[in-house]
Amino acid sequence: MIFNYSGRHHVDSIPGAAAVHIRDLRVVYDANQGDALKCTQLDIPAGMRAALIGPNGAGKSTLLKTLAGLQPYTTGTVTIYGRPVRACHHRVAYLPQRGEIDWRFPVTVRRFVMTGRYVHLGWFRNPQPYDDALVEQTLLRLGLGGVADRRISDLSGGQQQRALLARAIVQEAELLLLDEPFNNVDPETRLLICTILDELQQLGRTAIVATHNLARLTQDFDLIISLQAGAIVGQQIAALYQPATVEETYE
Amino acid sequence: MNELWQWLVTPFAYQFMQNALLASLLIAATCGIIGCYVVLRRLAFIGDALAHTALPGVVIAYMNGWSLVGGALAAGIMTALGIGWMARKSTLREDTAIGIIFTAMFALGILLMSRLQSFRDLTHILFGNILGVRTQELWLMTAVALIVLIVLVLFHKELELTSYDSTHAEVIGIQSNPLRTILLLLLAFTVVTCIQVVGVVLTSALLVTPAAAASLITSDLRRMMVVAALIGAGSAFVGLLLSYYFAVSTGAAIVLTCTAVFGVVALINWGRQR
Repeated sequence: MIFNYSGRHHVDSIPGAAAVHIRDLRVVYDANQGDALKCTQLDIPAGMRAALIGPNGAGKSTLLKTLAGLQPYTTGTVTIYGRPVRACHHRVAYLPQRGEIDWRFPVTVRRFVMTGRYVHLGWFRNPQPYDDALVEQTLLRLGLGGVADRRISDLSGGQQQRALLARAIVQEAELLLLDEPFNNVDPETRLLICTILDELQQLGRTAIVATHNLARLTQDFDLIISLQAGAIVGQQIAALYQPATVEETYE
Repeated sequence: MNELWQWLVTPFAYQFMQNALLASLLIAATCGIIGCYVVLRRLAFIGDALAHTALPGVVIAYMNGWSLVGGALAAGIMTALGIGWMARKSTLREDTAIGIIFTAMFALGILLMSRLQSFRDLTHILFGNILGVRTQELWLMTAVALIVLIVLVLFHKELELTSYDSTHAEVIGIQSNPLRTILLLLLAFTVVTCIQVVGVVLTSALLVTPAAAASLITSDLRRMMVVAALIGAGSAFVGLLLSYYFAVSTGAAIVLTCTAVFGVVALINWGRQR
């Protein structure tokens, strides 16, 4: 017997639907200010690795939070695999910026990663052997085997980022939303994250990654979406990507 | 050896000392456990506020001849729900809003007290009256301890997660606000019974000090709760003995024993890190 957190049961995705489908979306934080995010049209097909680029305050985090169901939106339609946002919590994993977590809390790395399984456990149920095995395997895959029993406060920046990714992986979500996973990480961790995104793509998963780091964009992603001042100013297939756009974005 | 045993046992030949021992062990342990959340979620100020707002509840109950514990409990529950509501609605910072309301409630309690002729019964509320615990109250304390323990065990993984990463909790469908309200209600129950032992003024010490000492010893929340409960209960026992033999205030003796334990742990911890 499983008591789901949202009180709703697993809703199947609509076959053939895009991973993300947005029409006429408007997000407003404060009525006196303008739109925090405005998006007339965005479609991200399932199985894509999409990069969100743009300067600070361009709306990258707001877009990810809207897709994660953390940010209420004013008007428009947002569907994920054909279903409304938050219709199924199992389907979406969100990797927050590191600052959103209290890293001083007394919890081990293993237990922290296990929280990615909670959505499958629901109320009153403790991790089962399958959950333990999956967490163990993911910790090893991300090179965190040696620090599994350490406190999360003992981790380096790169290790924290890998722990966050490990948690998103064990959730076994179809759509991964990663907010600045390359921030302050060593080159090794960056490479590892990209390799894992590649592996997840082989499994048919979709990833949307907000990033400042513009190196290797065309190799590591399939789709590049540029934002500026709360609006999408460009969507390009990575193979056809024009570097000039990057300079425009950062002017 | 035999003399030491006599020294430890003699005070508890009296019924009132037995009641006092049971009550203080029970309450100090409960305070230690829920105190871990108070320390980790930075709720110390709220714990203090809950203790202080109990005063007008007790005075009003006293004036009308109702149960004093019942009055404190009602005031505590109202405060817990009020704080939860304020956290969501207020434009003021939460600690400012609490500061305004809890000092006002406390002042109201003192005002009502000063209108009464008999002041004596109510000084117990301020400074605790562990030696006057009756068997009936002991049952209530046991019930509170059990409720707190059962709820904390049932919701452990969600309370733990929302304490350090409410964003992830929300993404997977756990709402932080109701959980926080549950925690504040448990805190209100604990504080109200704790007032009996050490009084309004010292209640937050039993919530914070044992848990703070435990946080220096272990890195796992569940173990921290066990250690804090042991420190709390141990200090209650030692404090009670000290107050018996040196004829000093029980509440103060218990709190200072907790502080001494914390001091020792902090010193060892500091020595290890050097």
